Amino acid sequence: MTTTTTAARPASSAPAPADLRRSALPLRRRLTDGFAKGLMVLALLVALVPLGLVIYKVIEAGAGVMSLDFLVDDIPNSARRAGGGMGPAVAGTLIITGAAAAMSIPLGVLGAIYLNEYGKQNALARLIRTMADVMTGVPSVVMGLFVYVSYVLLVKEQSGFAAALALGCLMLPIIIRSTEEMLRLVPDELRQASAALGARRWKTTVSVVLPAAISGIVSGIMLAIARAAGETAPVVLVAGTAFVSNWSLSGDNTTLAAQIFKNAGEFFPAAQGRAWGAALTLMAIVLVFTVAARLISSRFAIKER
Amino acid sequence: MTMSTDFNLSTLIPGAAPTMPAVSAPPVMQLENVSVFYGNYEAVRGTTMAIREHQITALIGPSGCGKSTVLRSLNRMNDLVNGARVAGKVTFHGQDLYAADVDPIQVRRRIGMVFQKPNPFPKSIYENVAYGLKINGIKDNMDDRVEQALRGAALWDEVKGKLKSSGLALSGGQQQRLCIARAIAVKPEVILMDEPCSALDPIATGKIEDLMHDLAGTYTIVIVTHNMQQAARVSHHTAFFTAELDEAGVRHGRLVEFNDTGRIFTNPGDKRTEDYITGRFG
Repeated sequence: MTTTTTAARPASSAPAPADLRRSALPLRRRLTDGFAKGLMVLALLVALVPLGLVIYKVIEAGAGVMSLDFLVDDIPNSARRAGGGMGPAVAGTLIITGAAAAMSIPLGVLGAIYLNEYGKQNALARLIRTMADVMTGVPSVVMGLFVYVSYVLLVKEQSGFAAALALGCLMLPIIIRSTEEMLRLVPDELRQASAALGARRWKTTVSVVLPAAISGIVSGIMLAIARAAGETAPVVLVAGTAFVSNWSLSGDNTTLAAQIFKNAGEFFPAAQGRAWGAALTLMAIVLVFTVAARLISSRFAIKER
Repeated sequence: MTMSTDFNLSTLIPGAAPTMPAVSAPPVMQLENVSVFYGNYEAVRGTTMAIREHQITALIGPSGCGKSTVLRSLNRMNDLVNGARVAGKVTFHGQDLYAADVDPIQVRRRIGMVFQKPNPFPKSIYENVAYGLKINGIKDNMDDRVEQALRGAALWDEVKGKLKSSGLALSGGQQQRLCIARAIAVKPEVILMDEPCSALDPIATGKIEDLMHDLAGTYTIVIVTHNMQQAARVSHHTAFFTAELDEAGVRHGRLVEFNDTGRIFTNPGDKRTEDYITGRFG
């Protein structure tokens, strides 16, 4: 049927077959295309330069002092002395960041659940959202001062706990906002499907919404932890300093970031070496935790296939 | 039946010959003058109809006539929409679903729902079906119950070898049957279906329609559909809704006619119904 109609049509009326090859495009269009692509690749490379240089320099300068002993040895109480290690700072970083995470993760995730699943657009939720945004913008040194005035002066002791409080306050708004964004991405159809089976909202949140958003939530939490682990000003202000490992939250303590700040400011090569070593250690710790968090969250996350 | 009368509209719509004879059955649910509001807007006005036990009731009508809104008022899913409010009375075995002390969770455990877009949880096929059982506190014979539900949804043979793989890896039609399995696993009395086949191809649609015939022996089904042939093929009773302007020029959905499907498709009592099912709708 169709073939006869095609054959019956006069050949002259058929349009010339279009040239579909890319080389048939106008020169201007091809040049624009190539130029735009080149620009994007260039932008990516330029963005990678500082990242690459930082990693290269930290490894190059830090590898010299790095050893297992460096990670556990006490910090020499005279900056000029060679040797020693960053053991107290590693201990302090782990215990302070850990305590800050233990305080801010449950609060932040529960807060985000309230905002997205319960409060939505009500007045309280809007107020909390605005406050979280404002808190994200508070400089860390201001948060340090706040904890210094409202806690350290009150108990009359600088401590790892005070530093954990300051870091927790810095992490909290980041966790709230990033978690809320991730919860918002979970399609409403899933909540409705769960509700239609007779699930209460809390049950729906725990069994359907959180698993669907877990990998994004973990990413946001890891960003907050990485930021807290690298914070210097509040720690210097409220934690005091330590030369021997202090695995408790009370009493003076120190962190890798604080030690980088102190040692890098010294003229002595030994101190500068320790600063680079501390920088390498800090980066490695953050990397290890990020990879570990990914592995753990991928176990909870729901598989697409 | 009126099928043999000379005025037989079903011949005008190929494939729309009503196949399900309506038998009188006791009503499970009753709508009395039900209106649904979104904020101040009255989306549906004064609907009165009965949903009969172990029968399939179809809600048909053009877009925006409020048929889905009415469906969602039957298991209080409209509660999840901000500003939605139901006036009038919806009863389930004589109990007012919107009475002050009624728990919507308990309502939804007895009146399940299947949605327009297949929406399996991003979990395994097994977990999808087991989810409803778990939240209802059922823990024994889980494997048997999951198998039963999947068999009931005519999906078991296709998935029995891959219960651990994700529900999202199934085809659209299989996903929708998984959603039906999920709904029947908790053994509701009534299943509401909101255009369950609109995202599916004709073969998958045929499977779901066959399934509905099977399920009607055990469950009471209310289905919203755009597809008149589908309503004619699967339902015992049909409610025709349309959207009309009121005196103030505001559009409201209204129930025009509610009757046995055979009657609606062969001898409608209202001119608007006749126009719609013969395709003369504006």
